[in-house]
Amino acid sequence: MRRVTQSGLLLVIGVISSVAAVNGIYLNFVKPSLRLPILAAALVLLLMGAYGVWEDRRHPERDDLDPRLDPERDDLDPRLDPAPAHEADAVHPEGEHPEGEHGHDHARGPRVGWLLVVPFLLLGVAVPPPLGSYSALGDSGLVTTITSTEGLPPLAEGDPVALTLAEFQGRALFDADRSLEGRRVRLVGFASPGLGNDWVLTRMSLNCCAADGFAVKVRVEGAPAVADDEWVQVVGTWRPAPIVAPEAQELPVLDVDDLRRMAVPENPYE
Amino acid sequence: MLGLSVFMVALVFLRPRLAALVDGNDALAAWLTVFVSIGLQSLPFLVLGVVLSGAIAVLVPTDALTRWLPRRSAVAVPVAGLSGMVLPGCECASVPIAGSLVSRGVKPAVALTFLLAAPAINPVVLVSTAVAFAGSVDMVAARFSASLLTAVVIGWIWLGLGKDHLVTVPQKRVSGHGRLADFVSAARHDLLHAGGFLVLGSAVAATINVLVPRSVLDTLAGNLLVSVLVLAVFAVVVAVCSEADAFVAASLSQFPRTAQLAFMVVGPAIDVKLFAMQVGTFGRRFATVFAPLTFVVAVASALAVGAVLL
Repeated sequence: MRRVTQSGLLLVIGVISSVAAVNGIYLNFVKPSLRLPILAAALVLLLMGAYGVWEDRRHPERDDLDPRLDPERDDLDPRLDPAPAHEADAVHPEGEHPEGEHGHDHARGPRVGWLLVVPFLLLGVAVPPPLGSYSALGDSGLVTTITSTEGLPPLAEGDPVALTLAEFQGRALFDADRSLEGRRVRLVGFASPGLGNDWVLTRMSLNCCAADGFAVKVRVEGAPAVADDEWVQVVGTWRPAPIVAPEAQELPVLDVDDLRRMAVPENPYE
Repeated sequence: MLGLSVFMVALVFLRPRLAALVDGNDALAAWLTVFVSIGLQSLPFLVLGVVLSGAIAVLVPTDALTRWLPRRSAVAVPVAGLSGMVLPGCECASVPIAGSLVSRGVKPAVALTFLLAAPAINPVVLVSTAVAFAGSVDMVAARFSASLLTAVVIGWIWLGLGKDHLVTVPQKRVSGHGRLADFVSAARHDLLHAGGFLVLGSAVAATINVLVPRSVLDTLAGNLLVSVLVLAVFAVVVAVCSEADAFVAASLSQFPRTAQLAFMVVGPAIDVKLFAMQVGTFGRRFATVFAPLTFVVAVASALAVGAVLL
């Protein structure tokens, strides 16, 4: 790969990732806290790419001199173990030089570099959707980690009070003070298939990026049918249930008063 | 550059078709989202890693590191392991840095110890472990000791094996065109090199992620040894970033704590994307020896430390 092409790839990655970080598309893939690191990385890539293009304009002849990129120059690769030349040859008796072995590594490196641009082109061109009901299907929907061993703080003011699904589930399943009882809550999520014919209110949650996404689910009663992956905002009250041991937990139930369809929120995860 | 431009224009025209394809296929859409997310998540750490490794290549004189490290390699190995604490990042950053260290004349055993320790025992990872396990001090201590133990033991084993000839020394040539030109050239090369292999590994991880539902694991959580091996293999194939793996481990609460520990010790030491990056940086022959060795030592350390601390 020519040096100017390498710089071009850096510019492409820099442009796409910074646009994704600015227009919010990045939230389909990672947590909001990654916005600044992505922007900083994109800036470095843009600077490096621009410098590379400028350098190439100024000294086009240097491209040919970069020893790392020249596939014909095995001799530049000093090996740690100063093996005699005939021993190095013995490794490849046919005179073949398998990819990835010594010698050709520096030539192949840039070639494999084309791959780096693939996820970013897909991000820019195909704009993959946030994880939805397909990914939620295999998950129980129960958040099994107890994030706090102390008592929960009192529920915020407001009627209805807006909660994340995980917060609702945590209070429903673990709160000895039963802070949800008698309170109207507002939850936002999408529909995914439940156990029977019903649908369950679902939201995917990320620890770091979509690769570790998992589903949080709440059962809804008294709600009209909603198609899979359709986003809704529901207002309702928790149907009280006794606290049971973690291994016997079932999804908490929300009795729905009001349901509204809505567009995908800016951050599809919680 | 011309090829790249033609490619980009073609993509823009293909866009509606791609969008229709993604819309109609849930599995493909999920695969793409996971695949892209690993790339986007790694980008800042990858850039941090290549910038540091470029800086090492340009600013650090060839023999400075070897002079600074203890002369005896057996002593330098634990020192390198502990220095892993100062690099706040995940494994994507440490591969190019280790490559840089080797090309600056640091013994492979010492650089590899750093490679294994840095993504596992840095403060960011330890704090995220504490958060994921609700402040459980013994889990954080177990992770720190098991990962450090893994890194140091492998460093010593590598010294004893004397297989340095398997290591391809990454090229770090100074062209004499000035420090900035050298720095950008080294960083750009490392980025495309390590990043390309990272993408290769993340494609595998995304495939596993989409094809194997996590509930399959539940059926295997019974026996201690089985569950440790299951989560160790799981760590290799899902390739979660070391800053996030504690949350994944904590969510696998049906498994014994030692198995959760094994997940967090194996993951930052060896997984599919790291393996791909190691092939790229140090050569395939090296990686095929080093990866199984890392896996075995990491599982053994997790078992030993788990028995004492958990």
